[in-house]
Amino acid sequence: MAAKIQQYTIPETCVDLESALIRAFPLERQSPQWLHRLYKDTFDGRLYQKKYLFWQETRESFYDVFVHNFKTGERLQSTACEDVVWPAVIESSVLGRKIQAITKIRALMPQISVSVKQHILHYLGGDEKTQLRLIIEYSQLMRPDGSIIPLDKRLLLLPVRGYDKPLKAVARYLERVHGLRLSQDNPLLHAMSAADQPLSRYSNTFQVGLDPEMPTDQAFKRILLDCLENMEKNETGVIEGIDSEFLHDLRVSVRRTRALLSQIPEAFPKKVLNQFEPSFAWVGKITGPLRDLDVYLLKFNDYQQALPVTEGENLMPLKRFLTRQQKIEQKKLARLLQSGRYQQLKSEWRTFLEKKDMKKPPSAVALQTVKRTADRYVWQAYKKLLKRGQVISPECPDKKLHRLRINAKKVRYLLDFFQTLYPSARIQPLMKQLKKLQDVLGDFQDLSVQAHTLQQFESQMEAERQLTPETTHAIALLIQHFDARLEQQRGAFFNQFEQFSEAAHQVESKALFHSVEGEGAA
Amino acid sequence: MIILACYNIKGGVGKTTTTVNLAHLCALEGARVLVWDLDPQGAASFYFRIKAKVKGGIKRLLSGHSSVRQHIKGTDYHNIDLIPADFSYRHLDVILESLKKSKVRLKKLLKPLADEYDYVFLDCPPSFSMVSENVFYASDALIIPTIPTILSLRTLEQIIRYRDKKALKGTQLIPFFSMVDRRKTMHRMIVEMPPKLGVQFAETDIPYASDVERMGFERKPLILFKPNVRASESYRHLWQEIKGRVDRG
Repeated sequence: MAAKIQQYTIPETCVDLESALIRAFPLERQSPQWLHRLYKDTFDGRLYQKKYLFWQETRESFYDVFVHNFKTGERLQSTACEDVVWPAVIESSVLGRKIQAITKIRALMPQISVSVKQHILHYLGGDEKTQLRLIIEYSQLMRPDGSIIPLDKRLLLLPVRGYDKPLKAVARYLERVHGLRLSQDNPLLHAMSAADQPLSRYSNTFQVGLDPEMPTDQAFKRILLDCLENMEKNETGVIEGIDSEFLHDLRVSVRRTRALLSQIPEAFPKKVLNQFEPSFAWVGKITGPLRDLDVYLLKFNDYQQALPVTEGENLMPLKRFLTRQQKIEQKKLARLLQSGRYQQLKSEWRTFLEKKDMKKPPSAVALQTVKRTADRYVWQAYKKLLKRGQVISPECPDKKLHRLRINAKKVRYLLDFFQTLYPSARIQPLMKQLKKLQDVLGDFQDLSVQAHTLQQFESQMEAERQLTPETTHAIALLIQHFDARLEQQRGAFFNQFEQFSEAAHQVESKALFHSVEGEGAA
Repeated sequence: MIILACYNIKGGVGKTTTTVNLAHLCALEGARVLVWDLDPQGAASFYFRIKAKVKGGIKRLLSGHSSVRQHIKGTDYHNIDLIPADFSYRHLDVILESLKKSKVRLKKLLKPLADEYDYVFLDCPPSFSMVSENVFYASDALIIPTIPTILSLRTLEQIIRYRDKKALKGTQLIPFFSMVDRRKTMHRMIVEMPPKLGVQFAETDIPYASDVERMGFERKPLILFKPNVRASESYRHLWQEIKGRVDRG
């Protein structure tokens, strides 16, 4: 029952449209109302990318919540009892479900707030039934300095199901008499541009374009600078504890940085490696405990669903424990990210990355073209992954699979860094296969580690006297469930590795990375 | 999509006012609501200011010659639509009898709307008939307004027996006391100690109030023109209670 709204932008030349409409149609005017409209989206603009606009308006102790598709004009409305940070608070409504399906684990964050004066007109038919709603909106936004910026005026036609004639009549009138045409403009963009606020273009996919002829050291600095900027973009979200993806993305940038330093050390001066490798390892270490807790909390519903209903309920003390620990770790990490040590690391790292040329190149690798370096190191890492994967047997210890996961990750990072040096149509299928293999190995690692960590949590809970016999039993069942799945996952690995190491992929990889020039360099 | 029917064999017990008020409260929570006025008197359509007119009559709609969607009208409230009734609904029984799979016709007609609405409220005519049987088959729960009198309780017993006889145990019965006048000893006695009939009465009762009667004059849900009276508060409680019971199944 989503209503398809028709929207018009009212030009300055169209004076007193409201009175003209009242003269032309049986309209009843409702007292004008002022409201505060707060537009929201995730940090990475997931709703905007899907052509959705989400906002909430404060009404007494409630919030009217709207989602509008500015491509189709479809609009849904719902009510929330609290500020909507997580769509879960309106999960029972279709609007909530729609938003949740797009935002997933990301929180809704304020984008921009505008004041809106609404003039509402009801097109009345027989029995004073409203057959169409017309809303004229005068929006404005207030700058931090207190100055007011008027935004464009809009007329919205909100049709009422089963009453098409008034809608058609008013639309015809607007076009013929006032020359107004339907608009698909996104009011958020207008407001953001009026406020000189750029729309967030953040994405966690690696997208640094490289020129194949660039010297390696310059290309690497560009890659690492991008990683540093991504770390910085995510810091506030981690410090404020907005959602778990901020920390995830920050850690990915740190891992990417560490991967490049450790995999191609020849490209960096020894002094730089000695200074920054341990520093970034420290960042990886301090961010680990909070990430682990985030992962447990994100997967908690799955854990509960894996058990019979009553046993799932018995896990609730564990959830409360994890939530408390998560808050403690979040505060701890927030302090560390604001510490002098962390700030100094970033500042010194930036100074190194922004320095134009190195006086003394550390090796020939630093000066050779990045394409040549990429060919050589990707091919080496790829061969190593194949070799290690081929010796994995059904009986081998878990740690061999863990090591393989790290090898796969190394290849993945290298492919991420250098993907723009290769034809997309050829490199993407390889990356897709690798990602599938990584997923299987990642799940195996998670299952293997989770059982052990759960036992640690259990001991901590016991020490804090928060453990009941029911919860102990439920945790034991969960560990059994992990063990059973671990075996399944081991089986899944062989299937996935077979696909990954298919002869066709090997030939393609060789053709892509093992160029004659690259071989020479190796 | 949850289907709730406001049903009683007796007339004048507050079925339509209950339907209108509960549907409105439900929509205020953001749920998408459809009200189907099944009563030829068209009282629910009247409350929502929608013309009691069914294009082609009810026969056309029930026989599937026109899509049920074509008959849906938007009300003056966000998230509430309505299928109006007109006088042709007086033949509803006869038409249903003449159709194949007559007992599940209503359920079948509502099925395609499952993605469009979260709740459907059926405002039923006061009878024991093929319409009732359809309502029983289609609904997740029957909300039964019951005046606290001996005759009304007897009627409730008949409804329970009817459900059991038709082996429709899956349909939850949620009776509640309606039009309660606490000045009357009998009303007080029955509400305070309801008889054990094998169904659980809602804890909330709706008082007899002239404000509820004014709904016909205002043609609006009660809380829109008398938000703070006891009856409005009772409807709010009743809706929360019903929702909780339906969710628990």
